[in-house]
Amino acid sequence: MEDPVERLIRRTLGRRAPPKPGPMLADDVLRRVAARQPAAGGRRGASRRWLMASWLMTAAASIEVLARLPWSDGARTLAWGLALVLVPLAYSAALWPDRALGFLVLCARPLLGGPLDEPAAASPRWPSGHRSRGASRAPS
Amino acid sequence: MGSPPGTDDEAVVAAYRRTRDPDLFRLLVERHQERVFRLVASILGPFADLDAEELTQEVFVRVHERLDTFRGEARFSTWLYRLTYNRTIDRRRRARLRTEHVPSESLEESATSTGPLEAALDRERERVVARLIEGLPELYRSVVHMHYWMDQSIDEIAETLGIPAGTVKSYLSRARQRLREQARVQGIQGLE
Repeated sequence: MEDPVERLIRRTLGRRAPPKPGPMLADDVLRRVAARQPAAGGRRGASRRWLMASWLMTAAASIEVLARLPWSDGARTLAWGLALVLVPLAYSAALWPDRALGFLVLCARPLLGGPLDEPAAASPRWPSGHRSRGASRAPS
Repeated sequence: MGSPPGTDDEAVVAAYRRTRDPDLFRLLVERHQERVFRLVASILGPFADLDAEELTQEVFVRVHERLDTFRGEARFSTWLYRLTYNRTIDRRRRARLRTEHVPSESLEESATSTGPLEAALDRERERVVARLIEGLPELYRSVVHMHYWMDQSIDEIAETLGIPAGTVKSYLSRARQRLREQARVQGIQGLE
């Protein structure tokens, strides 16, 4: 005879029919896998190409403009300095905000006086998927 | 094209790593999708506000990402089900606030009750039991769902979780005992 607790558990859980996997599950998985693969690699590659092209164009335009302006030597040096620092920083910040912030904090150290703690954003992050050292360690 | 269906999982994984042939990964998914889905659904349970199909897909995407870390020390299926278990438990924990209270619409009319009063009592009793099941430790709850909700046999549960059948029986027995005690505390009679 069935245990009354078992009967009650079955009746309670049975209020909702157990779900069944859809017929397209494998197709959907493969679609998601395929969508992630080129997206990750392709986006990074496209960003790098865009960064490189922007860099070259900005550098060419800066040389052209700065060479023609009737500025004093000091102003010209300042303009070159700004162009050389700000342009890569702006593009880097768009791609790697944490590294750009880390770089700025690093540059600001002498201005702020004392040594500062390493900014969290610039610290290397532990990989999200831990390396299991033994067979007993479960994958996440 | 992938290996013939008779080839073991570990060989398929190795071939997939070499060739990156999507049909090989499809073969792995098709072999295990049913069981992974049932495991995910069992861990989520009937009252969780999460979609088992969606989560099963997520698990397989995660498996794909982590496939290079599979070192063949255990069977692929063991590795896969463990990953499924951990991933689903993690998602369920994050969704806990939404599933804390068993939705009342999930416990509608009781088929066994004879009158309105008895129906109301049955509903209340089942609502209490549903909450008690939800409150069981993760492993007990999952095993209860697998056995009593998804109708999986003890051996099947044991194989999925990678534990002996005796341990599964013991989990079920302890879960029932715990439910019996807590139901008594909640004033539910007739469960002895």
